[in-house]
Amino acid sequence: MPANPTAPQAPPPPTGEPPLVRAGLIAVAMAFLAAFLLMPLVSVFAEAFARGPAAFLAAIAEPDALAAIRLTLTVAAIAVPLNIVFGLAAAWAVTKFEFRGKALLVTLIDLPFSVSPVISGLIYVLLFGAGSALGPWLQGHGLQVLFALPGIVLATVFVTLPFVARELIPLMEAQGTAEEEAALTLGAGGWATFRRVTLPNVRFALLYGVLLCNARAMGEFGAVSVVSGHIRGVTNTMPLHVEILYNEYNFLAAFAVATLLALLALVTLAAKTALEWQRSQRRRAAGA
Amino acid sequence: MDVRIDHVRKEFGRFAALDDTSLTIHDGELVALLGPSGSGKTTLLRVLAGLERPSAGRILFGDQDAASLSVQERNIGFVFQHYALFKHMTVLDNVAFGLSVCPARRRPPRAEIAARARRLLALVQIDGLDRRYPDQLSGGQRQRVALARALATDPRVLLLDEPFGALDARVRKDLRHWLRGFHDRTGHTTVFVTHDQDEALELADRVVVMNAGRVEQVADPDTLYDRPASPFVFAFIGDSSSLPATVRAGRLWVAGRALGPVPAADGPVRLFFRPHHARLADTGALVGRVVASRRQGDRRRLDVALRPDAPSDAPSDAPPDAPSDAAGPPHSADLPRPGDAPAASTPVEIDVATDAAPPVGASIRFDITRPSLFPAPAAPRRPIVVAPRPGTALAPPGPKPDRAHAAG
Repeated sequence: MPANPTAPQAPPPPTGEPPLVRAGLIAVAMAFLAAFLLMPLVSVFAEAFARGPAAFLAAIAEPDALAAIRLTLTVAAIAVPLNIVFGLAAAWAVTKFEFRGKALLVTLIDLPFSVSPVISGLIYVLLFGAGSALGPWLQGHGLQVLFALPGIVLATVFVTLPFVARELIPLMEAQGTAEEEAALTLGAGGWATFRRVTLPNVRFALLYGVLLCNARAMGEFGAVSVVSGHIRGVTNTMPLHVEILYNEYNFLAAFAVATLLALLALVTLAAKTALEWQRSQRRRAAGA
Repeated sequence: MDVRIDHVRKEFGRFAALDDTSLTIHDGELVALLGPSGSGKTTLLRVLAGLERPSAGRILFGDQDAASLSVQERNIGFVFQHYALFKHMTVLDNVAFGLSVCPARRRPPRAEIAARARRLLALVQIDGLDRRYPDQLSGGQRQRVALARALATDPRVLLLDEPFGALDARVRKDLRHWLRGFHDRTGHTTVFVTHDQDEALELADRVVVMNAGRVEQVADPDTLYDRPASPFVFAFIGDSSSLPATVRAGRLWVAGRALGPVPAADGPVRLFFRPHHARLADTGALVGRVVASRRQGDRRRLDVALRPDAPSDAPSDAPPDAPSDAAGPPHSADLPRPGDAPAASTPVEIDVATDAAPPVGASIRFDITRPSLFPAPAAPRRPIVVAPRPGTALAPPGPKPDRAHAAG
């Protein structure tokens, strides 16, 4: 029988939704994105540039703001490498060995995600504060932990602890140990196996974890707020500085610094997208 | 250099994967470790490689105790089941890896490493794919890269774990021939693990049949097929049927019929035979009914349910190798027939020519031209779990033992 040109269009695929439902779902998702993500982001930038780029630059070039930027970068520069070391060590231990307390370790790695950041900060106040057991000893040796860089770094490390490990563990679990074993049988030692086989295999996950960790290290507010002491130009990180400016009704400056943080988020997002794109390209090339 | 495995035992927790295994692999030999899953063959290979440490026993490379050697120092080539190629390296870098991680004083110069890797790739016949990545290769190509990589360090022993397991049937067959030829050319002492008996019988100089962590038989393929040393090997290698039987006064009795004189002591035995060692004959000693019939290659295979109650009147002029009741049977109904009850319910397999195949439902008579006897299993087989848990031992099929009855 010849095909009927006026036949109704092909029925939808058996696993698909009717077009109306599909359109509706997409619209809802888009509307949420616009209302809760896009609009705030745009308004931050709009507010920051409300009085022109000159005022924006002046707000950022202000000494306290510069100090906050410097402090934030310093904290991230310390916290992120520590996180890489810990993440690799933890993921290696969890995925390559069988040992007692492994389940406990996996649970503990997640702890910072489940504890409110404020509590994370308070932990360090209780540990190193004047009323603690360690406090007087530290003071006696002239070591300032709270309300100084060490405290801020500690709180940041605590809060960002899971990022790299969480990215690596599932991947390394899925990859198993066959390639490492192959390297061993070919005569490679432990370090050569790690450097030439394990690390290259997890490099994308590691980078991704580092990006997320960095974003959180720079943006952390709650935990840092508790231990920093809010000393302007000394222990104020960027997020804390934004809050102070805001509380002083200095909206322009507050939003100007906030744009920097928002920019960081956007750069991170772009980097993550680039990473994923590169991965899919590689996979496509491999599949060809 | 010979490799000796001397009373090796390997436990994982309470599970004994290897249980007192001894074996000698001769220099230049191609040996197959064959067994069902969980028989310990891969564990044995990994113990040889040094990837697992034996719980007891020794491994000797020549006269050197391997316990003192790390994985790296054993200088073995290992081809993993799924090849474990380094995904992020090109084919050439994969093959060159073993040379490039040599200690600096033994490491050849960079150009020579590349040249040797290229020679190896030519040896395994995958030239021109140097710059590809493993996921751009077919299964067969990957397998060859894995082999070239394992050979790069000039290993003393080559170990292959299920080398053809991940390939499709066609490639498998080609690579099998190729590997045999390759071994004949290069002469590496090679041990490979397989659960495919055709592969083992076709490829290996000697086959090690493993079961439940023990070596059942080590033999060349012909001996293994024609003279299996144990019921397990008989059942595992090739097709076979088994029947409970009895030896009484030097004669073999199956399902109430005398099959012929056998050189065995009186008592219950287990009779094994291969499907092509049965022959249809109007005067056959065994009587049964065809319950199923299926095509297998150029023959038909019949499932035959034996009927113990039919009268037997086999003549005395049966060929000498075909057991028959030449002496004339006693009245079978008068005799106790120990152990023949299950025979009626378990069909046996026999091969017949396609043009002579009786239809399903037909009553047939046949002889067994080459029966093999083994002692009847006295007790349930030794469980492989070190500390037996209730219910893990293999119970004979049929009605539940009394214990279950009492519990109910």
